[in-house]
Amino acid sequence: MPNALNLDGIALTREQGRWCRKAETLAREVLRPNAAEIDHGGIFPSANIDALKRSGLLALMIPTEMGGGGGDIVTAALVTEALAKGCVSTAMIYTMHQSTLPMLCALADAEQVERFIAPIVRGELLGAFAMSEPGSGNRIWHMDSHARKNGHGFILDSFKSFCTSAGHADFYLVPTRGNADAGATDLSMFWVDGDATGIEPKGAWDGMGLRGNGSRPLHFNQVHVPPIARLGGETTGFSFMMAYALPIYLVGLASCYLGLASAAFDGAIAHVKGRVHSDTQRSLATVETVQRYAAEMRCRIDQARATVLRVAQMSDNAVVLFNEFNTAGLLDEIIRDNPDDLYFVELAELKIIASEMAVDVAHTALQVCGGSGYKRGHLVERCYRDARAGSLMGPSDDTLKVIMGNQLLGTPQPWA
Amino acid sequence: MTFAAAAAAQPAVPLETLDHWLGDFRDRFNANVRAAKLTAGWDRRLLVDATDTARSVVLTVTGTRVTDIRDGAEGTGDTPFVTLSGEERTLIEIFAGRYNPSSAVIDGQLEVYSDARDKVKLEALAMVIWGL
Repeated sequence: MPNALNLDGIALTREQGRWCRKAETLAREVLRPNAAEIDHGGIFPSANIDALKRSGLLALMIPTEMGGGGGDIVTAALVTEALAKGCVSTAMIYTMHQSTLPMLCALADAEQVERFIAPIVRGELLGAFAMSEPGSGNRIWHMDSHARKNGHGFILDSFKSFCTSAGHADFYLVPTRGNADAGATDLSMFWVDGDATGIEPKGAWDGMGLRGNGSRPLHFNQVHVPPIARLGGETTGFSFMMAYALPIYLVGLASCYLGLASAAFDGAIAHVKGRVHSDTQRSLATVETVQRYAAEMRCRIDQARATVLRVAQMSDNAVVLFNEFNTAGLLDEIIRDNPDDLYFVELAELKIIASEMAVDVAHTALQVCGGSGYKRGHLVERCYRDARAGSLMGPSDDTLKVIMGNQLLGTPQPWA
Repeated sequence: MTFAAAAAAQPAVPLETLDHWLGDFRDRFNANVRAAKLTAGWDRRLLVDATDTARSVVLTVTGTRVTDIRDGAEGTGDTPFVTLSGEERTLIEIFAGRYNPSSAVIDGQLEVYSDARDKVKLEALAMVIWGL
């Protein structure tokens, strides 16, 4: 039923609307038709990524002064949700790419803008974030590996446990401790070209869900990087991650699960409308239990979307403040003084809300679809498996709840 | 200390007045290294305008310090104005560091008239001066 009143969403700017339409078209015409095959074969969605490169969406979050789209986090959330409705593996790859950009743009000097950011603006490069290490797990605020100065440049020997787009990305952002004596959160941030000698993806990604995102272990095995590849100071990477990467990362994850849940919902609704019992000649849509399930799914999705948009807006405001501190040379000390600021608690909450919502909605959608939805290859079956990744991806929901609990109760954080 | 001595030790400016907390703000501001970094090149006159008592005070920020506090709506120099407008009780709570000015704006208790960058600057100053 068409809306008589446009009460369904927020008022977008013309630019936001343009980006959203672009993402929706891409999801409908490219991502969705490829999604089942990508899932079935565990195939990295190269054709989808090529389409994203051509669309300009990979440069959405790069400021206009650097030639990019100048999109904010709210726009990124809307775009990511739209992509995730088509293929959540692709949307996750997109999210990891997006997560590199604000930090890259905040840290890059003029030479680095030309060397690293200009090719992204031209749609040539897909990025990935290589964060988690075996020793850190999803406690991604600390790293064991460290960079070593080696004459002209640095040597990285860092094993990353899970890296979305491993072996496929055109560049990686790699946090490691700044040197052998640096503390666990005294991180340097490095740009590593995707074809650098010594990058070794390990094994094949064969997950229960998100089967297209190539989330393999990645060993940076004695990789040499030039001096220009270090972004920012020797030990300030952690603060920049918190200020510039964490918000878009967690908003992006939440948007992926929002899109996934919407896809499951749509799949369930299409099923019940099309399924007619021969004895009554009435569709499943007339069954009161199914009607109740539909309402519950819709409530859960809308509740999560409201939170995503609120926290995305909050994040856009926070970035302005972070920029002010960065300009004054204060960002590192301000972030280190306030690692459990309520803003970061809101971000943590967002991921928990969205990933739990996706599991619940996919569960309900499967219940609605019954045996049809349980069959391998059904959209809802895929969403059910994909959704389960949400609470596990680092930082896991359990870790985030501990962080939130500590903040709310005034007890020490795990990194203190 | 006797009650009389305690009474004699009271500061010249009574506590819980706008004057007291503006003076406190000046002292905190001028002693804060981070505030100095944030206000490098940011010379402004902050007009504190109490809507219910018609009280106006201008704090002048020059050279990364609060250099002057005076009644009226002009202050010193010809630097741009940033206006903070609200009930005097609200302004006291803000300058006492008990009420985040951003929250006050959201709550409809404070109006700030300035360009967008100045608003961000004030938010950053509140964070480094009061830890808000």
